[in-house]
Amino acid sequence: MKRWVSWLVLLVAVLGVFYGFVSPYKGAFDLDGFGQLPVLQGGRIKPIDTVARNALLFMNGKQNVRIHQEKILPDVWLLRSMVSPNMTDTYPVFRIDHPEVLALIGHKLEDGHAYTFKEILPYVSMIEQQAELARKVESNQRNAYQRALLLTYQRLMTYFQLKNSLQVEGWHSFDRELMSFQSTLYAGKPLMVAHADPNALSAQDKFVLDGLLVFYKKYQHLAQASFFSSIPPQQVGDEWQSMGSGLLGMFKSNVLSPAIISYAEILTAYQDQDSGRFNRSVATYSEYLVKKFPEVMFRMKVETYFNRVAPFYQSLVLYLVVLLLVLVSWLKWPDVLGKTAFRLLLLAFLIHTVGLGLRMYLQGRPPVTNLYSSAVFVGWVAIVIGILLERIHKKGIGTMVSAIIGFLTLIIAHHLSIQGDTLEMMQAVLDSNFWLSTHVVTINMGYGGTFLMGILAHIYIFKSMLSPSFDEAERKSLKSMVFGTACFAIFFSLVGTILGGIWADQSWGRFWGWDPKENGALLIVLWLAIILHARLAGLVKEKGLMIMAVFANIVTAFSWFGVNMLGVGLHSYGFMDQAFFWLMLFCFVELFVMWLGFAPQFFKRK
Amino acid sequence: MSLLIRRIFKLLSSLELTIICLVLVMMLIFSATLDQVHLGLYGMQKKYFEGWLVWWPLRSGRLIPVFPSGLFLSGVLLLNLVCAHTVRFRFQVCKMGIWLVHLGLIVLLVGAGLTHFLSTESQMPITVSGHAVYSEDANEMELAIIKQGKETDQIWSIPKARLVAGKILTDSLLPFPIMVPENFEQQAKSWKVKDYELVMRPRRYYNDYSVTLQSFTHKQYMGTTIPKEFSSRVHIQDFKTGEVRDAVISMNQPLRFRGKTFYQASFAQGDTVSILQVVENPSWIFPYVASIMMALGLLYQFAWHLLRYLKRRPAA
Repeated sequence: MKRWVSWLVLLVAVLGVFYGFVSPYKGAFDLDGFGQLPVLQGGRIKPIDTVARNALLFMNGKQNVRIHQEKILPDVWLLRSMVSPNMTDTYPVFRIDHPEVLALIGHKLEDGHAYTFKEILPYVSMIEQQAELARKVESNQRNAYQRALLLTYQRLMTYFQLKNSLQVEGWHSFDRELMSFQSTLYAGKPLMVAHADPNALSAQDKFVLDGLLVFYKKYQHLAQASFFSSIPPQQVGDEWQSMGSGLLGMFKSNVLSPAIISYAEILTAYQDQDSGRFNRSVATYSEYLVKKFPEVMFRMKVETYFNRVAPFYQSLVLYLVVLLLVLVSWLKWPDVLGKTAFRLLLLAFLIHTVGLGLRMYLQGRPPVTNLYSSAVFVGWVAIVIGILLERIHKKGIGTMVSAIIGFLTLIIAHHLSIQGDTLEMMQAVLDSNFWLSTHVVTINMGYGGTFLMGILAHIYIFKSMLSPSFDEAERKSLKSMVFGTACFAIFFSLVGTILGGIWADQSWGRFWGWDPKENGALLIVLWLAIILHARLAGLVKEKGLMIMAVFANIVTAFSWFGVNMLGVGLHSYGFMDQAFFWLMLFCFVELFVMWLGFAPQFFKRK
Repeated sequence: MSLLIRRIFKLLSSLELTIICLVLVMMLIFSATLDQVHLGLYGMQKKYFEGWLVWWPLRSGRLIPVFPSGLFLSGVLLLNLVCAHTVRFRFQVCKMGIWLVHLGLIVLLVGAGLTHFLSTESQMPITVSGHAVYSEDANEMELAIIKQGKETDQIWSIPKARLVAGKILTDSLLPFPIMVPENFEQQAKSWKVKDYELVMRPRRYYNDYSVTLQSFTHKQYMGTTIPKEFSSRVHIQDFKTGEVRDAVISMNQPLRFRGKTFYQASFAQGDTVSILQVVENPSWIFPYVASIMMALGLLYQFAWHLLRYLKRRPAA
């Protein structure tokens, strides 16, 4: 019976993972195919699906819109926003949390979180003016109101640009637009060349030329407004173009890009709710692209699956389940549940690893390229150690710390992902795969080791406070785990810090530049050195070691996130606001845990 | 007497001193990092790391020392380490890693000290198709005395640190003795005395070669403002050896030439001026050696611990 439970839990988990592969799009339209079409945005070629998801995430903090009982998925939302903006203008997608910004648009904080474009529309010009003022203040001196206002403005801009990315918002038929443009162009082009003198034109010719001018202006607007470039290069050496520039290009050349024809068909078919035509055009265009850019299209497919399966979200949930299982196993069925938890941990870790690997493939970079990926990677490293510890000590502690750290780091990553595309391009300074894969990876391994050590110390403190069965053997094994991870952490922190110094020496001629992030890394090394010296010299006993290990968490959190909030230095690539509150809260909690470590035991063992 | 010396030695070599110093260093770095927001990188370094003490301005304007500074603490740590190894440590195979780490640390600290005293950093802004024969350190001023000749100018320069108000500078190398006026800093930036021109200007480092900027490239990722690449194509002409060469300097790809290293630092005036960072650091090798020693030492020590632990475990 007990063994059955173990396998059943695993089976359910595996099925749950596979369920993630099932397309969420039901209905006649091939929205999966549409979502896989490649566009260029933020310097990177990505599927439309990613653009839609990130835009929604950026505006609303969620990847889909819920309106009444209906859940609107990202690609549907994107298509609707271009084809029938009247509809999407009434979707609540603009998240505004700052009371003063809300007051600007006549709302109070308790009214809700997300607002519709229609609600905000009357205040847009005012927001624009205020944003203009806020932009004049230097970015690290803006106050919370100015930052919130600018964010709102950027969200509005994103929405406006998205609506005007493939066509001018609300065109009833891109098809007919294209036809009338082509016929006007056909009639007008000879006139443009032949007659330099406008007085020599007949009334009919003037009419045609005026018509052309209207098209020209319209497409110029489209070219300026679009959020992404949708037209792939036709020849080697060409660049990606936005729909507007593509249409403008027809003034010069007569060749109509297959992308323009296809998008005109796709959008018109969607407008007419003609699923047959929609699917056919998506298929034809995809085939053309697969022939021309096989590698890109494969990547698009992988990325859309990556988006859909959301491996880090899945492992986040699994880590939580593992944590609960371990906790229950300490009360009941320790063997079976402990084993189940460990197996489930391995499954979660496998998904985590695959996700990390896919990101590396998609970006063509080592695992850590920004704060988001560092959270994912730090968790991953800590879990590797956790799994090893579990193999050695077999008390469920390794499983538990792995689950805790996996859950926490992925939660952090989830919140960091709201800022936009997590596969963003690297700045020129950071554009070195060699240093990214040596310095950045080792530093993050140091973070992972330090956090793992800190969490092990938590378990020691809580167990000695609460658990009557916390015996000498368990104390000893926890102590050796803490000591072992401290060694691991100081090695990687030190090597990582040094490699950072060498990178700096190679790039700026300065081994040590007192950059905040460098200082943070050095603080970790110093604190770990203090712990090891204090321990080896016998200046602190077991309890002191644990309390010091908890403090290491504060040091690491400062170095990992705190210094980025200062907004100075070369490493301020991930400037965060609300995160400051959480960092402070974390520090207070850790200080409290340290105090608990000092406090006498609540349950005296008899 | 010898008892006192022994006591002092014991204190200097003690582990408690090490830990106290390390804690103080942590506090120092932490406050320096926070203060960097207000002081900037250069001011922060000056205040927290380069002197012996950190000074705090009172409301009356007087400065009082509040904390030992970077130089002081690293000096004490160095002393502590050397004393500990002469007094306390015995060389054992099982502690070879620790020896190596500590030795590496000594090399690192000595190297940092040498870098502090010997290295120079300056900037060399060059306009496209223009050239430069010197670089400037904007953080340090100098008094330059220039005598224009027909073909070449003669220049004497005195670092600002040597100019003490009210003092008279006499040196056989100078064309004439100079009396430094009171509050000369508030006065004009340049003076004319007979054939000589006197200027206060950023300190210059002259080279006996010229660097010509042929072109400057600044690329961004398409459709974004994220910088993708900065690079300067330069042409170097050595007046001494007659050597002529071209080089491309870009982010992460500096040029090393005659003991100086040129880095792509910045750009100005709508991409028509490239600013190179010029560094001369004769002690650059120290941190590299130290790093290798420390990394190897840690690896040795922890591998030793781990092996012992794993060997002992099945028996337990």
